[in-house]
Amino acid sequence: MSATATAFKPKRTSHRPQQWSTITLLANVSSWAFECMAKISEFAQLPQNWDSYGSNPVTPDALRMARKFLSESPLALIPEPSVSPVSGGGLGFHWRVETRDLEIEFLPDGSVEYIKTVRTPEGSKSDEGIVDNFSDKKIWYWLAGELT
Amino acid sequence: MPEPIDAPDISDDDILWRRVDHNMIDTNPDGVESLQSWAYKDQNQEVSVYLARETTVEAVLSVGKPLQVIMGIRVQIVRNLGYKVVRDPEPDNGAHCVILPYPKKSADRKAMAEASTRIKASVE
Repeated sequence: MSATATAFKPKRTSHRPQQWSTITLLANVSSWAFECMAKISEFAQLPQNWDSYGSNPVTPDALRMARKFLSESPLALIPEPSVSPVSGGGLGFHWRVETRDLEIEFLPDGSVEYIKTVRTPEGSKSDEGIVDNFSDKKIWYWLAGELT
Repeated sequence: MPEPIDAPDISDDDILWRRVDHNMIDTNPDGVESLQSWAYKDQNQEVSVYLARETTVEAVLSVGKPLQVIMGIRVQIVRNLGYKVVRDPEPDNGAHCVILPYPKKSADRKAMAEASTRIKASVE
């Protein structure tokens, strides 16, 4: 018996630029990112009224943006988050490092918001805003305590 | 529509219970649990709570989902943030209330979450 192989000639000889996207090597991805992806996929299966208050399931736009966050953020700078579904069809990532607390919420319409909180003996102070660039490192330096 | 009334028979020292998804609670490296602000978020813009002294953990959990837990918060915290605790009895639980108006500001929801602690069932 002889082994044979068939090579197929690709029909397309050129590619439109918009077909390309960034590829991240799995070897370069933080181990927690895999767990995060798995949790997100698990939350994607939640039914209507998963929270017992009538919430919609997690929306495709929220899922897409959470996955985009994991593929575009500087993961090497980011500690492992806690991941949760959010009422209305969103997803939330939460970090707490010493006195600093950060929440990033992927809203049902695909927009992304953050709230960062610093706890002091006098009380907590929060600052909130919109996340429009996942590759921005400032917020991660803040979480690590390297920026005020 | 009449203006919702901040229940005069509910004191600042009373405790409100809210049922939340267990994924919304973190255990920090020091062992202290923290609640995420979206525990006080609601699609229908009505934060549902129960007056602790008029109900039981079992009754509140019985109308929830598996793996939900109960967090408690003092009424004073809610009122100091500018919200009312309005009675909204359910057919099977007269202790049901809602926090009004809906806390749209993340910072307010965060403040409520920071002030909340987990309530354990009396018999487990």
